[in-house]
Amino acid sequence: MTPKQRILAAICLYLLSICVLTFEVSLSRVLAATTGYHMAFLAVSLTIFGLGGGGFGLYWIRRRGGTWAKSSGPALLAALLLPLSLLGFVLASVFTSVSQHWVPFMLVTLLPFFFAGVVISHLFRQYAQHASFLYAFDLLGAAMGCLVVVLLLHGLGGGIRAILAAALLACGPMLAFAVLTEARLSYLLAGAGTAVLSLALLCVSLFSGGLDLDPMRFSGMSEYIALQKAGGKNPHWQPELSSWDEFSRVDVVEYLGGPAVSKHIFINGRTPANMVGFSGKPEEMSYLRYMPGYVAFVSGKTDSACCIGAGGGVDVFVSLLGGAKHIDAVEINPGVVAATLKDGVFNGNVFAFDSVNLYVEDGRSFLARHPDKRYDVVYLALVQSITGDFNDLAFVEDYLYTVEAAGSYYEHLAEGGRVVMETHHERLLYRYAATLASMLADKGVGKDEILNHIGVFSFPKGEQHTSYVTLLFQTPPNAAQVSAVDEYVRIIGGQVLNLAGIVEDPILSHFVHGNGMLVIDDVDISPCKDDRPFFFRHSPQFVTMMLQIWAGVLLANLLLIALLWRGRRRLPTDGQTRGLGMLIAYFMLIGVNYTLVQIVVMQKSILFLGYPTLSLSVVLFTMLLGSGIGSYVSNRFASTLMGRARAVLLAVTVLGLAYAYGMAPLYRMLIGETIGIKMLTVVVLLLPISFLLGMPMPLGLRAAEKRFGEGIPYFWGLNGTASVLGSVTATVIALSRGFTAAWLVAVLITMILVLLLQRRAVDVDAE
Amino acid sequence: MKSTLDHLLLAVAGFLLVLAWVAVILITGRMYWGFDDSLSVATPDFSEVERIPGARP
Repeated sequence: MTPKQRILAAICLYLLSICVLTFEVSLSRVLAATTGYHMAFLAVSLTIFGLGGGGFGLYWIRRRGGTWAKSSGPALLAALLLPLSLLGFVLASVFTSVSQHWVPFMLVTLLPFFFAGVVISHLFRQYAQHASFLYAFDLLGAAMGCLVVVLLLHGLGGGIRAILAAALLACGPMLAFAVLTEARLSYLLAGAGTAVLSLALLCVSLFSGGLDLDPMRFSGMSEYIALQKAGGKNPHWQPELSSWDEFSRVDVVEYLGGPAVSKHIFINGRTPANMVGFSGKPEEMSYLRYMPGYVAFVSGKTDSACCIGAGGGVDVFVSLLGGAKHIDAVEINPGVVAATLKDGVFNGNVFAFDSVNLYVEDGRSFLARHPDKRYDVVYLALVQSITGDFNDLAFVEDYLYTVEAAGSYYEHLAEGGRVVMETHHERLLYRYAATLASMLADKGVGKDEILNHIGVFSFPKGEQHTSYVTLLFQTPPNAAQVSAVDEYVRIIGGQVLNLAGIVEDPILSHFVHGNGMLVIDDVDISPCKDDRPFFFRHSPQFVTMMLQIWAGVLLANLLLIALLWRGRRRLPTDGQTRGLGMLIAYFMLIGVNYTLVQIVVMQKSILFLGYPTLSLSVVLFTMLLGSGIGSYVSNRFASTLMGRARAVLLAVTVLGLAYAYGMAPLYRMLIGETIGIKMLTVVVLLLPISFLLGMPMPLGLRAAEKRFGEGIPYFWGLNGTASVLGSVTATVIALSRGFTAAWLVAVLITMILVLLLQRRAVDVDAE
Repeated sequence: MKSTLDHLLLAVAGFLLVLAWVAVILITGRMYWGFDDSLSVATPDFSEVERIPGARP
């Protein structure tokens, strides 16, 4: 391999990775808006299979023999088809309905990944001896792709335009690959033509507003608009403003059917945050006194309030009506805040009131950064905006409802203060009341006293809709306070389920005097902790669905292994299959392990950093950069490569164990620091383990090249599909046992790898 | 020669990566901290609004 070929191959891989990541992230944005987060998660997982499928495809084609199949022919064709398939995806998503044509749409989605997989695995097959060098650029390209997509979404606005840009980007590696393989001129012309076409379509989208998604297709929100257009039962919705930011789609819809005009801010078409109209006359807001959360303001001092999930400012108005003089409004979603600030004329500039301080960050992080603040009321009303619905990927707001979170609110209460939480689900009401009870028990409150600190109420609204409120009293309420609360609840038509001296809820009483478990109708709704913060995911169907997905992904991986095993005799150059089984297990386990580590670290860092999007950027950047450097450095190892991999994995095991027990205390200690220090902490913490985790893959590819060169596209593909298994495994374990358990499984996998290599490394390393 | 070229290419890729990262952090940071909070409006006096009977602070 000449230096020119090395450089061209590295550039090709670098650009391909940027392109793949740009498509993957843009795709998740588009699908989150059109089908919901959970389907986006599933779709993106499936598409990674497409990438691995490219590796399997190339392995299969090469096995069929023929000059064309053995040369770079299949990869050249795939490189040309990659940008064309991306353009095909854009046209399919703009002109057809994703939800109505789910299966064909998924096939169209798989194609770009498949073609990219063919090219990437071809490069690793062809230049396997330089795998350490090339894999470094593959990873650095992936890191760059995560960043480029944000810049594209920022600059171009809209997921579809970012995908058009990805098609244009894909022409770069295609041309580099053509030069590398000395392809004919006609191929280069075809590549140039595709680039011009991609650029033209991008310009059309940018300058005419065409080639974009129809808001009617957005899940959730589209239901309301469709009803309105059809003259259905909900004719009061009027879409007003739509925009894409770097991370989501924001739509503001006016609602004319309530007691006053209000607007709903939809993020990715789901779970709206409310914004109410205010023309400057306080009495026009008097209807908000009937909001159930107002119950926190009817007894005791009300001078200061902290609204967590302040959304469109409704909670701020409720607090002002309740008598608050100083309000800290904390909202994690910048899209909601931007929409509320932009519509200041409508909402009376609620966030600009001189008694209101606005903080755009996670509520937990905000309180941790301000340990000395004390409030008469901490107000959490239906905080669920960024998660979209119960089944998505971002578990951020779940962290607001853990035992540790309740402890933080309790510690931030002034003498006699209250924490109020509102929900629409009875099970969540009990789960939160039980969470408060657990927290009080942890604080040393006696069992007989615990329920005196907790008020629980239901407020029916119409036949099918009920609001539920939980109230935590810093000190048990006196008779006057109890009487005021009781009277308020009765006046607005509610029911007291638990209140000191009035009534004790039997379910809660059973919980407090029981074993710490709360089960209603066979559903476990025991309190959540930070390690397993799935407050909203109480449904057994969700766990069953994840287990089914996990089993399906595992089966797919095993099937692919079985296919290779059938033709194992033809694979090795010396006809000896010794070491093949070990290599299959090796590539599969390191794929599972890497994703497990990545997902757990990302989740733990979300709470620590306080900004989910920032957490994603910092963790992905650090892990891919560290792994890229690790891969590059692994080039120094020239012999006994699997033996070296064993030493590296042993070091990963030791570090992994240290992180399992050291990371959480470190994060707890530093959570109150500035964001700069916290980002630096994550980078410094993750670099060493990422550096080591970047080595096993290229070392394995180089070691395999000696006797199993033809299997390299297959091994590369298996590693990709195993990473999907890793992400689903992380979710399943975290749901049932928590994130620490998922981390320990990752450590266990590295231990198994070390033992495997201890016994079998010599089978591959032996000359 | 080969090694020098490799190092150079890695350095360029790394530099571009760090540059892009800084740009993304600035964009993300602006989303969270870049809101124009110069506008200040006097808070209306909500104490004038009658409280629901019985709901006394």
